[in-house]
Amino acid sequence: MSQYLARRLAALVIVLGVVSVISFIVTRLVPGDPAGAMLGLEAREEDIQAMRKRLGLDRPLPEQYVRWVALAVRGNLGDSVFIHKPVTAAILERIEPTLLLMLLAETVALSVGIPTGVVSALRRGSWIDQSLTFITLAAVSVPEFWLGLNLIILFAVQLHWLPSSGYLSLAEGHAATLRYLLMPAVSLGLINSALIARMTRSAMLEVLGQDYVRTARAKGAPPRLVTYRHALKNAMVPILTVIGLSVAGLLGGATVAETVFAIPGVGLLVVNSVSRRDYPIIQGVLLLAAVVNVVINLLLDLMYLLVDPRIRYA
Amino acid sequence: MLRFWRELRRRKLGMAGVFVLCAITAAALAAPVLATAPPKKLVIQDRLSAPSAAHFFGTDHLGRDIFSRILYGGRTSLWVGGLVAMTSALFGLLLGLTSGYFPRVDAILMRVMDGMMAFPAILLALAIVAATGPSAINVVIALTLVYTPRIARVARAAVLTVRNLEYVQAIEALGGRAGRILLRHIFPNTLAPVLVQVSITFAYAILAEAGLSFLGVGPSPIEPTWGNILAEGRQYLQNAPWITLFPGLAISLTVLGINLMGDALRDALDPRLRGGN
Repeated sequence: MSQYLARRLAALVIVLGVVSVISFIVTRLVPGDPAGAMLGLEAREEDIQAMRKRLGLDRPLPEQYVRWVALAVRGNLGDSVFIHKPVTAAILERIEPTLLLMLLAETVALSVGIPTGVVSALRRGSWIDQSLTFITLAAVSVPEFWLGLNLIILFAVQLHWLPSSGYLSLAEGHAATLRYLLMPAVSLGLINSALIARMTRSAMLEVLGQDYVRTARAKGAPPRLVTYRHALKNAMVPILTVIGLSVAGLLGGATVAETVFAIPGVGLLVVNSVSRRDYPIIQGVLLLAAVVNVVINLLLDLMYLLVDPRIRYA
Repeated sequence: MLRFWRELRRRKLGMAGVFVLCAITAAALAAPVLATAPPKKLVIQDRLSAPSAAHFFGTDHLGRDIFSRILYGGRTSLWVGGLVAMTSALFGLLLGLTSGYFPRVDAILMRVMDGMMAFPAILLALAIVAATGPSAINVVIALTLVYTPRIARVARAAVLTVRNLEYVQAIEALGGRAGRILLRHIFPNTLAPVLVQVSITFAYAILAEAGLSFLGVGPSPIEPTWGNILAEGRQYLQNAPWITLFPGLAISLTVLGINLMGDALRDALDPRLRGGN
């Protein structure tokens, strides 16, 4: 088991290395000079030179990378060009709505997705299964931002039940925070729930075809017990994988949802940074999102050890 | 191939998907014929008018005809989506085949692929287009970079399942060249899963392109795309919901069509799911 852990950690370090190189290179794809691009067309030559020096762009590329990584591992992602703050501070200021949104969306996704998948698998081939399969397929075909806009039209414009956009922080009031996050979380969560439902269905079908399920049924175990004790429990490992896969979708989806609902989170910060040519922010968030995704997936992998003893003793 | 087509034809939903996709593609191709107005023509006095006989899908804040804009926008969306699917398939297959067949290359390539897949797709694409500038070709490059590792993964897995089978080892023992073995004996076995993955990529690419357009880094700020028509309609949700309704429907229908086709493809190509003869 410790060998398994060591191997996983080694893989983690390598992937993080690759992730850091990619995050670094992406913002160097700017045609010409990033310093010039950030300062705009009317910038004076000496300002551009000063900016280049400040950002370390006058150094050779490998040296720039090493310096950037050395600072990044200590939590220093450079300074935002536009809001004149350290990137880390800018992200931390806006992390609350993003985290809450992702958490709520994942709750929606799991509480809709897993039961849907289980019901679909248990009634395989029935009209219930066929309609659920079609509905989930339709749900993954809908652009998340369009679903969000339709929710706004229905619940904010027509019914006036919920605010159409904006955010109130937790410090300003819990119930109000929830009202602002409800529609974004539902639009993001429903689309992810469709993916989870599809994966849960196939994981359950796989397990339901196993010998031990047939044995359990043959010995007369109550169907409910077979479903939950024998089948769902064993389907948990692939379902955990799906939860891991959905994290990346949530991170990206939160960016879109924050834009649709004007929620001042990390996602909206990135989108606004694009037109401001604030590359340090884009780079920092990109790196952070990948790191969060990789770490969560590692933690989920470690949870397999708890869920499935076969992996523990292998 | 023929048997495969028969398999596919038996699946009604899949055929419905193929039909929807073909119909929308045909409509986009025939945009100059079908359009009721030039897509960029401004008629200010007609602005924000509801769907009517003159404007099937209504007009936007500049009085442009939404129906015509969607037809022309479909060209960009389908073109970008299709190109992304094809280029990712090409590079994904190349990388997947080499990676699956040469263990030494595999160790390095797959770590790079893992690293690329660690990024949320839309964020990575957003960052690439933000750096390189919004244009159709940059969107295609960004999305190709995003989806290539996913196809490479699938192709690699398919290679690994046949890599050590007797027939491959036999040809190797007979002194067959690696290139020939890969192309003649291994590549055909990767086609089925890769084809399914490519159809999924096509669907994702259309959604991602629309998403990027919506976030303001799409293929074109001037030419209509489904995503940017939607984005421009955001300010008018209250007075003119049709501006966002119809392009959203166009995207959803197209992607649903592709997904139905992809699902049927997967079933048709999976011998375990094939019902009887």
